[in-house]
Amino acid sequence: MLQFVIRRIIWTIPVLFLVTFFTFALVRAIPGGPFDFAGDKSLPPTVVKNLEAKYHLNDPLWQQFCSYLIGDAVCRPGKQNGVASKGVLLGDLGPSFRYRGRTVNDIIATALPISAQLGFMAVMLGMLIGIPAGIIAALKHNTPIDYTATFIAVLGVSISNVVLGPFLIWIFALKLGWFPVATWAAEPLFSNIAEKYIAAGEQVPMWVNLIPKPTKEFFMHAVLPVVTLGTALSASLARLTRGSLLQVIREDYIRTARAKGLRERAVIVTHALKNSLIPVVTILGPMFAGVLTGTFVVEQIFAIPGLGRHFVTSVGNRDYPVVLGTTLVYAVAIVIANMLVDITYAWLDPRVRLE
Amino acid sequence: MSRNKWIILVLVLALAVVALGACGGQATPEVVEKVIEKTVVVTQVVEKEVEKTVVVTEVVEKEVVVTPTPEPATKVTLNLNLGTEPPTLDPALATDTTSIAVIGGLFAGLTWIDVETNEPVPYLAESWEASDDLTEFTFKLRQDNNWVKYNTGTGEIEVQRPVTAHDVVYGVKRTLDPRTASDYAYVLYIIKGGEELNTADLDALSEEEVQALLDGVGVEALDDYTVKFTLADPAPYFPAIASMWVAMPMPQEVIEDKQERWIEPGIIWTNGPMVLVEWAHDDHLVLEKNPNWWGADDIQIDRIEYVMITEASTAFAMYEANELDSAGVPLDEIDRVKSDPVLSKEFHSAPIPCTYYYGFINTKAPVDNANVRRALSAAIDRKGLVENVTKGGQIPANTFAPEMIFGSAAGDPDIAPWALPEEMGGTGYDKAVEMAKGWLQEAGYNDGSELGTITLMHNTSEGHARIAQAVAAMWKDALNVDVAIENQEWKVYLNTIKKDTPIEEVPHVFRLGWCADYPDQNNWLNEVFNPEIGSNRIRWNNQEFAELMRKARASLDPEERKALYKRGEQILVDEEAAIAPIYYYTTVTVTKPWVTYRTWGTVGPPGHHLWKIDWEAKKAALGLK
Repeated sequence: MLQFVIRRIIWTIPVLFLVTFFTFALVRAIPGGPFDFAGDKSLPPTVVKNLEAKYHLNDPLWQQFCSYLIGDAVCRPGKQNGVASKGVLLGDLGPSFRYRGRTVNDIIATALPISAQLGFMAVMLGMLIGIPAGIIAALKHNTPIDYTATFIAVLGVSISNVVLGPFLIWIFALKLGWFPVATWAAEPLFSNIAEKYIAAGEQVPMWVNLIPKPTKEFFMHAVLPVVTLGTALSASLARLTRGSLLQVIREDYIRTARAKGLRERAVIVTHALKNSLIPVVTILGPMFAGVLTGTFVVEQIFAIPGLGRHFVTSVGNRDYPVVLGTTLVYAVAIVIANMLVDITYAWLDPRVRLE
Repeated sequence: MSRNKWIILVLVLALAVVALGACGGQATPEVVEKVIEKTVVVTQVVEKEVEKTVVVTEVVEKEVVVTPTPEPATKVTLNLNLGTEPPTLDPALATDTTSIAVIGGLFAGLTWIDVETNEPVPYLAESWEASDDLTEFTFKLRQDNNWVKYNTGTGEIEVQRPVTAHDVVYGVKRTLDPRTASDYAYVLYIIKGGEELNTADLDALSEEEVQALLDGVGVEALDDYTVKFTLADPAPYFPAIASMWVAMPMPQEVIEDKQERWIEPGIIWTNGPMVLVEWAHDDHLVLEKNPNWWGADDIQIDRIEYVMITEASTAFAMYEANELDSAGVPLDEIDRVKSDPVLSKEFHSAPIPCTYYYGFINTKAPVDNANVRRALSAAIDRKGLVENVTKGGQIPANTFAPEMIFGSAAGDPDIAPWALPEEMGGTGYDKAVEMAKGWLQEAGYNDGSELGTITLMHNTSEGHARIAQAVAAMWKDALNVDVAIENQEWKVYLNTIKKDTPIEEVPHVFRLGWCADYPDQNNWLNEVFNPEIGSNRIRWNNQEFAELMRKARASLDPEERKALYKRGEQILVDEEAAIAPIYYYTTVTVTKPWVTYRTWGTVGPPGHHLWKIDWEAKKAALGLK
């Protein structure tokens, strides 16, 4: 097990390197640069030159990539002008080109915890509704309960967040007035630590932002976006659970279990259910990684200051370091999620060995 | 997991980046559009402030601070939507309307663009004098303006020191210093020595040479409260430039100490009517009144809470839920708002200093013929377009510069009367179509289909697409011209329509907008279309126009300048029809009845701190005590 984890982590290094490399190359292959224009106005070449010098964009590409990876000290020795970068290896993701004065580390430390809070609650809701609904539908196969559950699940998958979000706002915020329309209201649980950083004019670290204070304010703001995001997730989980459980129930070993006189409850819980969750777990990994690192549409509709918007807008702004930073965060999340999925496989299915 | 899976993962990520590149444009509306969606919010304010009081009380108990903070409920609070995170609050680096809106409240420049008249009026400078040849401007500064800082620990606003002429000199030189890398530094090239400093390669120079360049900039402090600018060319519009963020005073000691982080709350020194209290990035930003400001008695708003909501329909929903004082109206909601008995009274559309236009590539056949361009321009039914497609009360445009700009000839029927409806003094669309057919025949085409397919390109956006489809249909109906509509992501698009793109890759017609930096035609006709200086995307080379611009720039007589610019407009949009102006932008908003005074579509910063609200009415509506 430990050996498996270590080998996995070692494998992560070339993967992340390739992700960085391809993202770096591709984002620079898109026409247009970060400083071509301010709004509608094309900037004079002299001004663009100053900006490119400041952010080292006039260096050769290999040197920029080298600087990005292992820092200016190694890759551009002796040249002290502009913004210094320590390199990704030392955890410095560089400055944002668009938000002058903020670094990508600052942006991620502020935005990622908010996306993670939203994503975590949404996946929890999705699992809480989706998996039991799928199980019930499968056990009551071809009954009105099954049809109803399947219908609702198909509906949930089909209705996009773009529709559901404004619809929920219209009903529950405007007509009924139960919840606020939009925005996020997380305050760090360790607010005294956060205040120290704020008073010193420094960036509040990510771990402080991550855990919210469980106030009424926080949950009231969270309900609509979490339901919007969680509905779609629960619908796809329900369909998957139902389909998978139906397949497992028809397997020979289930018939054997029944034949040897096990109670139905034991057959389902110990034998069928555990095995049928393998496809569900497979999809849960990337699902977690995806929503924890930010969901553009829901964040946009509910004006939630998460990472999702940076993921999308940074490409439009040609804000290279932010594109790279957010992609790396996503890649790391995917890698970790998939590793956890593989470990869960071994627990769910005795035939799977991690070696 | 097998190796194949890893490879697939990498490829998927790579593809995702490409896909994002393809659709990122919609999420990033360019500046012109952002101007329109300005908005205002309300409820949570009070709850949050209650929590704050608790903190303050604790402080009082421990440290026995004498100054009591006013009761939260008595703080007159205005809630506005910025629409997006301001990219910076550093006056030297700001380029966009969001940053400038906040900077306009935080900092005070030498002059201020009056929100009603759009002309520069005294601000930090009590008065100014210009030399007879308009190359030297001397500003006398107020002596009662101080740098202040908000203490995030105690909540006090602390006075630092007086603002002096040296701060202005530092600010101007900092903007021009190439190491600052300011986007808008070029606006200050009008100052003597400015361009030399900004374009120098400082790495290649010795320290003495760098110092000589810095000293060579034509801005000096004659004494602590007098600053003199020496210009490279006469500039009658310089007092307007002096209002701009890039020429504001800046606090040297803080900037040098804290570098790029100097704009964070608790660090930043400001000298304007408001102070920065809180800036939660991408979420909200709070300003409070500066009691030390010279005009503090005239400012009713104690606190402005800005949220940053990009989605117009969400901001509008917050307005309807009484969480907002004012909001931009999304295009889809305009019909409903206009017919709603309550909302229609709160609805208002006001002009803003921006123009939507179609540019022709003047060297690309068949639009290299002035008569063809005129025919196409005249065949756009501007009135029909604004009434049925854009629906925001936009004004049909017959010139490039809108009304608020000095030297503008907007609505003057001497220029392109065929672009205006009859009630605005023009010929109306029916006659314009007849004229267009005549011009087409003069150009040697009996029917529009002989032109071949005209390519019309716009940047990817639903709004631009609707307009392009409408215009294509008008050209087809009126002149039987075949039009192919194309669109590209914003930055790709701007690269495509550059003047050095090969002629076969550029469209015949492209769309763009322009908004005022300062209220003078120099910022419009000269900076955008002078074939010798601007970006010249329309690829023309009209020497008469260039000569007019040169004369107008140097002229000391305002009436003569107006006449020169009017002639310039006549050439640009009528005789040559190098561009087809379509409409002047408006901002379409709803405002709650308790807002008793607000500003509309300003050229300079919007001056939110000048708004007035009936606080009792707002509290009653929100159910507060």
